[in-house]
Amino acid sequence: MALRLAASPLALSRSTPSLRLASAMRSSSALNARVYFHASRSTASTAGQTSDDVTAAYQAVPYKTITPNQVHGSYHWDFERLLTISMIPLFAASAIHGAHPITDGLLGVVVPIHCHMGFDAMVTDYLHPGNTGKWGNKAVVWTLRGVTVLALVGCYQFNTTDIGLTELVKRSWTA
Amino acid sequence: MAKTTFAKTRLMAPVGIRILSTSQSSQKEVTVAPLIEQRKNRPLSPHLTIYQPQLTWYMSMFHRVTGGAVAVGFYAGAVGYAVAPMVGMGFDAAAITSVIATVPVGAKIAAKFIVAYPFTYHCLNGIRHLAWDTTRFMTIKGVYQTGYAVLGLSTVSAVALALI
Repeated sequence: MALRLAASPLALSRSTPSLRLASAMRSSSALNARVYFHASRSTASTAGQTSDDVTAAYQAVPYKTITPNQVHGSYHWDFERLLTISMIPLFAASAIHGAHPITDGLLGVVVPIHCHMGFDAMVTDYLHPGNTGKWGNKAVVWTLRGVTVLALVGCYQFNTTDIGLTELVKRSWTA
Repeated sequence: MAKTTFAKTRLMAPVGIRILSTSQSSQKEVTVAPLIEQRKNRPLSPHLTIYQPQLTWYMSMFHRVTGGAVAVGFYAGAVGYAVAPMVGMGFDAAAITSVIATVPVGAKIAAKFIVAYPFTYHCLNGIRHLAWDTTRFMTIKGVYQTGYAVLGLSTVSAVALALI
């Protein structure tokens, strides 16, 4: 299970370059602190530098200051767990009672949202701005949101104009 | 730092040190794109391939993999149903059940097990995760006992579901 750590404050020490690097690497382990090592000089003009300049080139700079966001806090975690817990009686009722507009409707909402949160966790872990770039990550996140909306629409349409999710599973399972 | 270099070079200019510093005045003008490109080419130490196989991380990985697999299937069905009218493809419950009815019985049971097992594993391991969230079974023994329980129960229930 991926633990969401709270953002740790970036405290860049005012000591030697090697300690600055170490503290930057420590603070870069916080999930929401985007610390990038930046070059204070372009790579083309590296001739004639002293070792001091080269070390300064790797001084860590926060890419973005962290503004508080509800998603980064415990509300999101609570919501995710409550949603997951609600799926247990929902699936049980669906399996025991069979098709019913309320359980089918709830399934058509709860399951896509649960899937979305799972996919979002995988995107955060494997397709983050660090390896896809800022706009690559944005594209993936918004594509996921669009696909989830389509899935919600599809579930709603299936529940209202077709036989409903539970009945589909029952019929295709015993076809 | 620029000041000391400047002061040093004003008094004496050793060969190989430039007089004027070329560091950028504003740190915000730095582009990050070259660094991202560098990071893509940086080699990674082996991790998944060398860590000792253990029930803990194997089951955790399988939880994510099965969740992704079931979700992809669910999304494919739901999104397919939503966009099928626009593409002119007939995709509704009657079409699905009629296609499934043409499949031979043996293949159907095998397919049902292949569909059911990720679902039962993910559900039961999900309950295990929720138990951890209440701080239960948070010991090595607890993790392993619940782990083996999930493995056994998910296999048995998947077989039972496949034989319906």
